[in-house]
Amino acid sequence: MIGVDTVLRRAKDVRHRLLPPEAVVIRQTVPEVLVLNDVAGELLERVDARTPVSGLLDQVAPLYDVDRATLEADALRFLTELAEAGIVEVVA
Amino acid sequence: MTTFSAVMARTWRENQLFSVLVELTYRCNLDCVFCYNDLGLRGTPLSKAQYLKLLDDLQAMQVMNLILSGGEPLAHPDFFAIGAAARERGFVVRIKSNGHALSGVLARRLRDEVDPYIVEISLHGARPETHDRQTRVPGSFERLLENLRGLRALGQRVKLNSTLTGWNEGEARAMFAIADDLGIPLQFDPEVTPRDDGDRSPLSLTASREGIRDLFRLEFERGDAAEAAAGPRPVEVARQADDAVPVSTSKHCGAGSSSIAIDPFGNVYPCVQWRVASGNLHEASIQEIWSGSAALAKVRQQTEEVKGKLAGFGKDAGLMNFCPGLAASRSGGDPLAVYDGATQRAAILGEVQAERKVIPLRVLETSSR
Ligand SMILES: C[S@@+](CC[C@H](N)C(=O)[O-])C[C@H]1O[C@@H](n2cnc3c(N)ncnc32)[C@H](O)[C@@H]1O
Ligand code: SF4
Repeated sequence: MIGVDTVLRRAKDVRHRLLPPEAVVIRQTVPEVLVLNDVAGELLERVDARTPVSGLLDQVAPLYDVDRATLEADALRFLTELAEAGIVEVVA
Repeated sequence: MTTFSAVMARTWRENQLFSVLVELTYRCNLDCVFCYNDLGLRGTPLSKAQYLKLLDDLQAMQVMNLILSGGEPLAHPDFFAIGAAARERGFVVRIKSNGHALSGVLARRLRDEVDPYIVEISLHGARPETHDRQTRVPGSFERLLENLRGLRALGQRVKLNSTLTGWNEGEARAMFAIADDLGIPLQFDPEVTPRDDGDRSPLSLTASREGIRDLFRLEFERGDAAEAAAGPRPVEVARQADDAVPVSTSKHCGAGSSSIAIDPFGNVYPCVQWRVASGNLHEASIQEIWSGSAALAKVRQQTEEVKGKLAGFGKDAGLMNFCPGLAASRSGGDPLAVYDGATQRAAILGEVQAERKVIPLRVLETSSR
């Protein structure tokens, strides 16, 4: 379960770039390419194996004109999907 | 949901640089008789610090693909430092190599330090006599096969590229058999190109019409067999920006709008096959060149004109695999000049398709550069 206290890292074979309004993610080992929406892309960009999800939200919040609760709900959904797809891994 | 093809089409439309091919050096441990490299080109090679700055800039520009080529990229003294820096900066790295040095420690270092998405290696024939004749290095064939087995054993993703020539055209089937045996895909490019200095002597190795026709027949035959064996082919993902984009755009290709090439002396070109001087990294940053180069702006315009011109060829346009860069080099500067290789290719593909009942929608990728 990913929550606001979860710390994540990108999987080693993940390569990604932000191409607003999308982000492109390539998993080298599979190989596969995924297109993310920009919120998921901005979150993925900030995943650093240190910052908890709440910190990622602090960084991303100023970019979007949306209330914190909505952003948090969306972010947790996106990050859960990224974890299920093997793009991010839970560190703590 | 937006598809990757749609994103790629957008990079073409919006001039979002996505793929950069870097020729690190023209030094090489082989001496291929038809090599297009301009060995007479002079200039100050980019330093390691300049390469690192280039990678920083490209990362900031959100460039995804970095292709390290040459010459032989592994012959550059800073190859591993540059490759590792590319990996740290999150590029999808492709290496284009002749494979001659890729064994033992070097092969392991490549996997561990650079972690390339793929290593593309050239195969010149199915027999030592043919391969070594083209590379002009005795023993290179046997060594390559050994190195390919070693790379596979290391778990490195490898692809073989081969240019069909008059010398190896009778061996295409046997080359596919070698590739199949190794479990490595092989892609042919049916076109020998002039040298980058305009010297047309490599063209004397051009494959015959029959050789090209037999290759196309063989490729269709193999495609049919693969489809019959496996059902519909899986969608190939992780396509690179220099691939065909199956979504309508106003441009014929991504040269200068989604991709560029850089030579060892910092010269920037729209494409490895379209060498219009577009700036130099000793004088300006890649961002400045990308946004300010009049030559690149013109090339972007020309890729639209090419698209318009080819539309006049109807269904043949798709069969030509027309390259404006080759058109320019063959005609002395006109990227719209339709050249023999393109029309011949369309005619041969048309014939081969006519032999078949159905016209496949498969796009044949052809350039090995
Ligand atoms: C110049 S090499 C550089 C990478 C590496 N040294 C190699 O040989 O694979 C890139 C590719 O272009 C092919 N090539 C070289 N000269 C060519 C020519 N005149 N026409 C078509 N392909 C050519 C090579 O066989 C190789 O597959
Ligand atoms: S084609 Fe590649 S291997 Fe052959 S001489 Fe040119 S750079 Fe070297």
